[in-house]
Amino acid sequence: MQKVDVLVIGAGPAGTAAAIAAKEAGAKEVLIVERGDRIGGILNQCIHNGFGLQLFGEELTGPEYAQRYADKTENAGIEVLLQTIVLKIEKDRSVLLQNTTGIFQVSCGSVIVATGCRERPRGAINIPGSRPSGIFSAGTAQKLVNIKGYMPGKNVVILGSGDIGLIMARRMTLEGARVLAVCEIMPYSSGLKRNIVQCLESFDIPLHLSTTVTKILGKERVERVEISAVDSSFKPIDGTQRIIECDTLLLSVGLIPENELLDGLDIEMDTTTGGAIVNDKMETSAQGIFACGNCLHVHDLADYASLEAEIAGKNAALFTLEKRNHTTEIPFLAGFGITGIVPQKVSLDALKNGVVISLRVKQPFENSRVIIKNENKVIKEVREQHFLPGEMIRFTLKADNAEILIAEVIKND
Amino acid sequence: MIYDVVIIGSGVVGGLAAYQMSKYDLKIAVLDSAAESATGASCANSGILHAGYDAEEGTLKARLNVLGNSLMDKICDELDVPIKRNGSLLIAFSKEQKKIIENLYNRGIANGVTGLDILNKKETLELEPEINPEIVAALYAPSAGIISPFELAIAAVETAALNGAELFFNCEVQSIIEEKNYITLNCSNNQIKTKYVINCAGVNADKLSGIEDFRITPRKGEYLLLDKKNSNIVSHTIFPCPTEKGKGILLAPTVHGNIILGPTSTYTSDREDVETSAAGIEAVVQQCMHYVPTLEVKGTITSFAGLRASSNKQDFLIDFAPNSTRQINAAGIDSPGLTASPAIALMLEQMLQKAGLALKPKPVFNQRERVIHMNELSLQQRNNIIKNNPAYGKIICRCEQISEGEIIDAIKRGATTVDGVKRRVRAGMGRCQGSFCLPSVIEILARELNISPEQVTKCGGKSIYITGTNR
Amino acid sequence: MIKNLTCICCPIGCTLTAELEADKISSISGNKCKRGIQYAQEELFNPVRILTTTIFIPEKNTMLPVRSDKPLPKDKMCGCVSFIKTIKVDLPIKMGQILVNNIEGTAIIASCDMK
Repeated sequence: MQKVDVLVIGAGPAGTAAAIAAKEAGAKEVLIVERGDRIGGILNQCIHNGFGLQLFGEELTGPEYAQRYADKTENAGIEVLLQTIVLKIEKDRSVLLQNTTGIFQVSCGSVIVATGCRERPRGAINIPGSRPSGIFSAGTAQKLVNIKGYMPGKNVVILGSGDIGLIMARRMTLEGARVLAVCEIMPYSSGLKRNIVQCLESFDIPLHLSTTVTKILGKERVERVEISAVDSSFKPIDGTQRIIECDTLLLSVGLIPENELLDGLDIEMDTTTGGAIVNDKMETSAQGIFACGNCLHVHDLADYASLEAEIAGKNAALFTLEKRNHTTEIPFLAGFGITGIVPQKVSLDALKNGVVISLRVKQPFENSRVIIKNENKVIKEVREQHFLPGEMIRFTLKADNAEILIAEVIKND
Repeated sequence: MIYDVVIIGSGVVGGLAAYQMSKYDLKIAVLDSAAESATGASCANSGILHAGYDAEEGTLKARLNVLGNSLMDKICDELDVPIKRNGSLLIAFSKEQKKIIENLYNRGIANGVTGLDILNKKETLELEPEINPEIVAALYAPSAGIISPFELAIAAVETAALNGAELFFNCEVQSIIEEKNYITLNCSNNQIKTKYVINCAGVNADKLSGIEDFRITPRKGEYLLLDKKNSNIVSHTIFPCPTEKGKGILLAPTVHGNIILGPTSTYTSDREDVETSAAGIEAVVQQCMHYVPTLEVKGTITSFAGLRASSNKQDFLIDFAPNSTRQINAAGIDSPGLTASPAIALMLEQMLQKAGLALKPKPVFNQRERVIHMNELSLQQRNNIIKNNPAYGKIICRCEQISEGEIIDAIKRGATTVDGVKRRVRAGMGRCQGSFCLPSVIEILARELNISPEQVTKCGGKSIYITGTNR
Repeated sequence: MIKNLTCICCPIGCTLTAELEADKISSISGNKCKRGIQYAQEELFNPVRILTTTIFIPEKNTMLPVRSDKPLPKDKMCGCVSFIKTIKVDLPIKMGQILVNNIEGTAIIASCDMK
């Protein structure tokens, strides 16, 4: 059985960054396992620019960002097994892999799970109606258009105005389709403002907020969709239904961290992130198993996924090399208005040097600030013009000591 | 050329009839108006094998349900189709409902059902701790089971084809003309002559029945399918007390480890209307939460609807058409049609024999090669298969862990559409519902069938995915 | 005249306010960095965009992601996508390699390596 110091599952922006960091921290045998046919993960199909601004100070396309990490991975002497999937992670960190050469086991000093996320399908949100062809999740349409070169439709309605939906509105238009509308169930778009401008406004594509698709119609292929306005509880308002004739519905209705490999390992999971509960080293409750990137919590920027992954990589290497210190960990709890805190546990020695914290607000807040308390004492404030759930809040938290950390939103007086 | 037997419809009824008749030295053809088998009620039902206490004594439904149930294990073994005897619990919430259970119990005994028992609340909750503690009793039927209905139909049709039956898809029978020595079937793309014809055309069987006052009104049932993660919630099929509307909304495991909720019951005039509705899905959820209050429906994978071929005749119509010695109708086959299907096939065989068809058993009758389902095999077995054929090592459907080799198999066995692949090997039935594997399945179908990706369809006809290329 | 626009230079998306006097910009505010000023000037009179699209590579049966080296006029984007489709590219390709020069004042370059 092959032995590796660090096994990384996934060669996307998180997996590659983690592997490189593990190598740099002293791990000798670092292996990345990737189910696709090249390094890059989802970035390979994200052909638009907007990546790398934080990390490289440049606006790269997804493939360019991926290529940079692919080059670094190769130069670092990291082994990559492409078109290989992980069947199972065992409790002793031996891992079962499969590809066209067969099924084989690898014994691992530590494992980093960087498996990204999947899209929420139509079935999970139960849009009523028929089940014709022509309904795609936005990412599947993106793969068809950008990797395979196939157009999934001609007259398109998009449900969901997150970045993937907006990007696909533009992409489909550039390739000759008519995007008739983008519908968004919330009263605001969760996508970047720049994408509203460059993907919708620039192409005169209407955005209908507080609107959802209430029925899909069509016997064999989509023929039309019914859209309706929704109230503050997101229930369709009777009488507001109208029909849009189309042949395609793209769904951009949420990303779900992909953590099936953690089943059976009794790893503590966080229902607010969809990912594992981790400490500041990105280590899960199972010793030696780390998580980073979109499978830990859905990121807005690939750059931050990579930065977070570096922490996982470094600490996975230290774990294998048995160079870790164990210090007291304290919990980081979500108070009013806050959700999705990562890491959920912070060690005191790391806190002394500064720990990068990510969190989100549960709803939009104006005229407010996010405060971090150590029990009752405020130790940090984050001030912004406004806070939106679609924009991850990221900051460094530093303190000499603490008992329990709480993040909450309070109104500015 | 004149066939001996032509079967119209390749769902479970037509499929098992074809399977049965293909054991004899006969020229057989199976026609279906759709692109593939099992695209009607057979792909959109609860997959339940009923014990047989529901139907009135003396009816065909009663007799064929019990007989079919007893034949299913053997049929599934022959056809290599999964089956589970998980038993059913029909729960009562009141004294009145308990009386209904007692009547059903007695009816079951009269119908020949074995193993029936009436359990009290404590016994029921011991079997299924998650059931609503407000129940007072339950009718327990250990002979009830679960099966994959479309896999059954498809396996039956594939095996019939393996033994010489000819399959005609996209072939809609428009009229049946009976001459003295044969029947002419005028089809959308064909004209077929046969000595005997069996009409198993499901929701459209009344149009071909030759009976003026026999009417099928499709009765829609909506379903919800839950993630396998929820599968521990119940192991038996949970039924409510039946009403005049029917057996009611049930909650059951599926043979593949999901949980299925449904069906509703609403008549529709549109024979192709399989739309789900917000109200229907809501009704299914509400009802099932009444049976199992701890039910979590957050893990919904999909919802779908099927049409039952309910007729104005209360019982199955399995008989010669009026003034006919050559056309047999097997029509109005709604519940318990799935359970009854092997028994219906035997009944049809007997009728054909009585009508004069000589049944000479084939000297050699071939079952299909065991279908390779990689995730059911041991690691060693899987490794051997992959070493022999690397395509089995490439995972295409990540959620259900289905390999390219299995998808190619499905196409070789007869799948010509994405749904056909899905129903044979489950690629696309997992929690991502094909988001990941669809592009690959389209490419594999195009390559294996030697067509362009733009020609690949979901279920035939105009259900294409790709409307153009950027190449 | 006052015009509000959202800067698209980076993910922050500052809301810019531009004051126009006689078809000339007299002031720009709301920008967090210098790029916002240039953006407002261009966007109001000559909007440009970076173009990203794909080219088919028959030997690999896959699409190569490509981009414009510099922004090009917004209203020429669709036309450029059509033209770029006709470009024949030989393998191997290196990221940054120029595939065609002088399209609307910019080059079209490869976004990744392809062997």
